[in-house]
Amino acid sequence: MPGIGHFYGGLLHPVIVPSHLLALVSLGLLLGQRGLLVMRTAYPCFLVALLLGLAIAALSPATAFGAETSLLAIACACGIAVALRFSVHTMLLAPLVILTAMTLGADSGVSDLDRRETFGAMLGAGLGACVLLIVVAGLAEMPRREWQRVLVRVIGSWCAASALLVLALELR
Amino acid sequence: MQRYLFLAGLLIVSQAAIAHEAGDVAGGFSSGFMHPILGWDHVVAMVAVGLWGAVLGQPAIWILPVTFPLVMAFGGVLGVIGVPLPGVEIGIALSAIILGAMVLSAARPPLWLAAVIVAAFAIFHGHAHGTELPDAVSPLAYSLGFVLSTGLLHMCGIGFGLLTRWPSGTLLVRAGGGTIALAGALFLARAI
Repeated sequence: MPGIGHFYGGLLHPVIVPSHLLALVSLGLLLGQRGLLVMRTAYPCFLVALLLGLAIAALSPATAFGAETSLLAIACACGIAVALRFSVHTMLLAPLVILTAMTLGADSGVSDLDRRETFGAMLGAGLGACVLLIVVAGLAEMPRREWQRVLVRVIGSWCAASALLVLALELR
Repeated sequence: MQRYLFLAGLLIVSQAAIAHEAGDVAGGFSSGFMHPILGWDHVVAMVAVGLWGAVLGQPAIWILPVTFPLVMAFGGVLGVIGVPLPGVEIGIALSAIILGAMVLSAARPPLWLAAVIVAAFAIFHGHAHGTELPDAVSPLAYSLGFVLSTGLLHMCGIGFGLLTRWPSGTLLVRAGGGTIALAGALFLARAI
């Protein structure tokens, strides 16, 4: 994004790339819906996997092969689980978090920049992804009234519907 | 000299290559967002879903808007992969007539039946959106836009439907259902 610098451009990267946004929002809703205990376990896994993914992107900055399809599949699965309030087992949730973070990191590469600018852009992208996940999960965990909890499920169904449509388009 | 100045100018205006570009995302999102809003047949049916949910009360008020996008996505997938669905426009018009009539008569079928009726019509709406998806500049942004605006239209219907808490509001909501059914009849006449 011109005019705002590489760090802030990276910070906004998860918000302006629809597949990243959809995957992060869906995963955040799922984590928030499962509660604080799951969130506490998931955040460190997410951070480590994201750093690993960003390291991969730094070594090979081209768009990661199949990243968008993977992120859409993740968004669709998380969205359906949120909409149906499906209790995902932690053993299944951990690989899902790791896969999402690694794919996001690997797909956040930049090219044609010097080392300092690349570091700034990727630091911003990593920070943006973490902040977005924590904010969405926090908002999804907060509701105490039934209608608020159902609102989380409605947003989950929107994410699943949107991801499913484009997934069909990519796989046809 | 002019050539060097031109090349220098190109260097100044060029930007770093990033794995993704923000361009077209906003356009795709806004065109997807406007698609259900600009089609009156979609608008009245979506509002009717929210209205009927409000008339049915808990838990239908929330179950119907959760059911609709998921089944609409299934209909959209059929449209995207090119599975023909006969009479899409007729199905959309019928959705306005049936859902409007349900609101007008304050019908209270079992929840599963209400969900099945809404889901059946969601397939037609999804198919219409899905057929246009491959032509969108940014399909994901387009789909995000139209799913979001569909959901917001449901919310408008739910908001309007909450007037049923008051006797005069109930009358107003049922009149709204009647208007939707009439509009549906007009769409049906045009579709046939």
